[in-house]
Amino acid sequence: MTEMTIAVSGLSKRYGRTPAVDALSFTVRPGRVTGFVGPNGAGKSTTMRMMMGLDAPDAGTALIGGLPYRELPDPLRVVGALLDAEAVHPGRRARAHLLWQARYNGLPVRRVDEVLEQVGLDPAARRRAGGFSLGMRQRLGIAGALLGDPQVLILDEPVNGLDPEGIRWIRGLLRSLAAEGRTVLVSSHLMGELQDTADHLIVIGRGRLLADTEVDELLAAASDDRVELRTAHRAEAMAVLAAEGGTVSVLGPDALTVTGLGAERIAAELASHAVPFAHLAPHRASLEEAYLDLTREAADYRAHDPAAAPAAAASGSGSGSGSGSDSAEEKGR
Amino acid sequence: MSTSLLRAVRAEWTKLRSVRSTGVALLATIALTVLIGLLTAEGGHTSYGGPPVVDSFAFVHRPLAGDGTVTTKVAAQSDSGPWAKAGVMLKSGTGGVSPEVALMVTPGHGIRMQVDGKRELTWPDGGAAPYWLRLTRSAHRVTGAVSADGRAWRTVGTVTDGGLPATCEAGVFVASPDVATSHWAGPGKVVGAARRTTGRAVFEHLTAGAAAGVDAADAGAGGAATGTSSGAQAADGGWQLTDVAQPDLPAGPLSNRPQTPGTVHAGGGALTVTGSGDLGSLGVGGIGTEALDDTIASALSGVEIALFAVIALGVLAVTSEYRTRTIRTTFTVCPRRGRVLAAKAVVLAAGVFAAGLVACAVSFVVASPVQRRNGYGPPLFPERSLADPLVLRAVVGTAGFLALVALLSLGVGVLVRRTAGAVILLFTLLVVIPLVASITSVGAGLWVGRLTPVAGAAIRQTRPMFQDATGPWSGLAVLAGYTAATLGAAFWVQRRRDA
Repeated sequence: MTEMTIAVSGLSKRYGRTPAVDALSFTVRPGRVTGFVGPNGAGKSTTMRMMMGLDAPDAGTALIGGLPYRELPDPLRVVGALLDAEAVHPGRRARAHLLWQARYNGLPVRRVDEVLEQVGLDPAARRRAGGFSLGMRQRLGIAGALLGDPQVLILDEPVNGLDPEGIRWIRGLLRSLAAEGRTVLVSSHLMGELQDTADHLIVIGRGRLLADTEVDELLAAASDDRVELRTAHRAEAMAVLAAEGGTVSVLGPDALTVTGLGAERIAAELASHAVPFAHLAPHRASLEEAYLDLTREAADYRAHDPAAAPAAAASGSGSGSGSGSDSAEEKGR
Repeated sequence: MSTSLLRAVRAEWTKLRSVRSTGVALLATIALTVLIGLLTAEGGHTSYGGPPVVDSFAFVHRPLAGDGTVTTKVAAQSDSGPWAKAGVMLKSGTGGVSPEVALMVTPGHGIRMQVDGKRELTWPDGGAAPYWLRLTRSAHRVTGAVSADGRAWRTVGTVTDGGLPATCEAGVFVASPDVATSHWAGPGKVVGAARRTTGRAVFEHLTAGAAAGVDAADAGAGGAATGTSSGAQAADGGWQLTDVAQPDLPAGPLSNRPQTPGTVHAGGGALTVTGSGDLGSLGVGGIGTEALDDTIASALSGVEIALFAVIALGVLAVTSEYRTRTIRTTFTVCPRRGRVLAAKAVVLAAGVFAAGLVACAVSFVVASPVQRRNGYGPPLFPERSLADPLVLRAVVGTAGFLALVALLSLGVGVLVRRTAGAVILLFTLLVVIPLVASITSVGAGLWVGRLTPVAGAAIRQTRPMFQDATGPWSGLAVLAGYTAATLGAAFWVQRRRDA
């Protein structure tokens, strides 16, 4: 079997005058979970739709195992996708929703019952999808993606709407699928969701590639030589360390991070100036911070554009709220 | 069908039957068709007001004693109506509704042989003037024969000479019935009327005598034989013109007016005869057909209402996918979009056709007894079973009409993508425009019925009527053309468009 990579090369798509995806190139490899991250409206869903042959790119190609999606003979056996969990007919029962997909690709009916059980929907198999919660629809969508036992999985925001138990379940599922040697691409607008799941990250902003990197490398780069300091005497500490040439930023009421001075030097300086401190340790950056560093450039650029400023504030902050509006707009196109 | 298309058809079938609206729409199609068909039957009454037997025409005749023949070549017949008649006749006398045997050509209904205007034999090979006709009386039987060239004769049929006396009148006759017309008398008002017509035929080589081909008394050859019926002049060869008149005419819009007198002119070896009137009886010789209702079409009239359910079903088969965005799932599961459309078309057409077949068959079966109770009986309205080819064509064809409307709706659904827009467009096309046109003017109504997709509804017509816009098959072909063009455009657009 040829290696089932997803190869995106020079992919571009514009809607009117707005470029949604701009000369995007990257490769998704098997055997690991690749996170596809960017703020809402960054072009993730558009890129995924072009991978799936739904939208025609203006330029470039997206190949799966060397073939454009539209040329796959029985696509469900090669690629399983969840693009839009809300895309179910409310009057159709869960089982029928999977059955017609199986029929199109000549998959046995038994697979329908297997995947329903796998995602934990077997008790709801005979219920109409209109009564499903968003979490149940996500599970139904994932069941559809697993139907053909595919080598490649493409999931757009699969964590959306899941309860904590569901989030844990899907993380385990993604990790085990990757461990079986499958190619797994998962998008999210929240870096934190991928913290313990993704091995590799593709970060895009405004349709352009910002990073294509291992998660560990990204975290190391973001952590660089930052040191975290806790002290009740924040003002004195800041004055002392700034005078010694450190870059100090405030983390909280009694917490600071310091760049440019080693931990030992900081301890020595604070001791010599008799500033008490409670905790001093190398700072481990979260994925969220690393992501903010990466997207800061894009966010800064937006901040100069008065019209786009509110959007930049909302999406650049990566806050957990307001997840729906932007992506819904994109999907509705 | 290839395996992959077969799979796609099964998938789309699963999809269609797994939502409730499909069942609702198909049941509504059946229920509306049957209900409206029944209501139409309850409200309908037959309107024929003419006499049961019609026997009035211009008759050029002379006595024939005992056995003998009468032969002529109908060299020409004017097309004064499809049921105009010209031919040879043996008659007991010159009074109306008296025993007779006649063999005739018609412009629109081929060669026919009538006994007393009540029985009719038809000649399967058609035939119109010029044609040779011959009646031979022999041993109390009369045989009709026809020939294209006057040499090779073929028998139409042999009947007993029942009521004919030993010496009867033999000769040629011309009849031409009134033609129903309609004109527009204001918005929504159409007035029907009967127009008197005069038929004209040229007879050559007319002979009548004891034995076939022996008595060659060519009518015109002997000299002038000209006159009008008023004088009832004897012409050379003893030929005489009589206007055979209907005796006791009952009151009726079509038949109670005096007949136009006939004329006869001889010259160049031929007799030219004009006349009006008709011969036959209800259901024989085309009598009453102009005033008839099409009971089969009327039993199936419910499909015009059932159209609403069919349009909704066809449109929703695809717009519901765009509304719920499952169209993207469909196109990822099957990226060959043409195959998806083909599978949808097959499933939808089959489902609607099956439901339409049930709807039309049930409609016909339940409406027929009600129609008979309201006066639609034999002989004008022969009792027909579902297996009758005419009924079968109307029932199966009407189911096909509904299936084509469903496919047209599917194509419009793909192009428009929104339920409301597609449904409004189709209602306007199939319901509003025909309605507005028909109450605006007869001409507009006819052209809309001829050229727009609604022409397909003509497939349920089983007898020609003056208000028909088009024939059954030509109407269905028009609809099929629109459907094919729309599906073609849908196929093309869908392949190029982002899903």
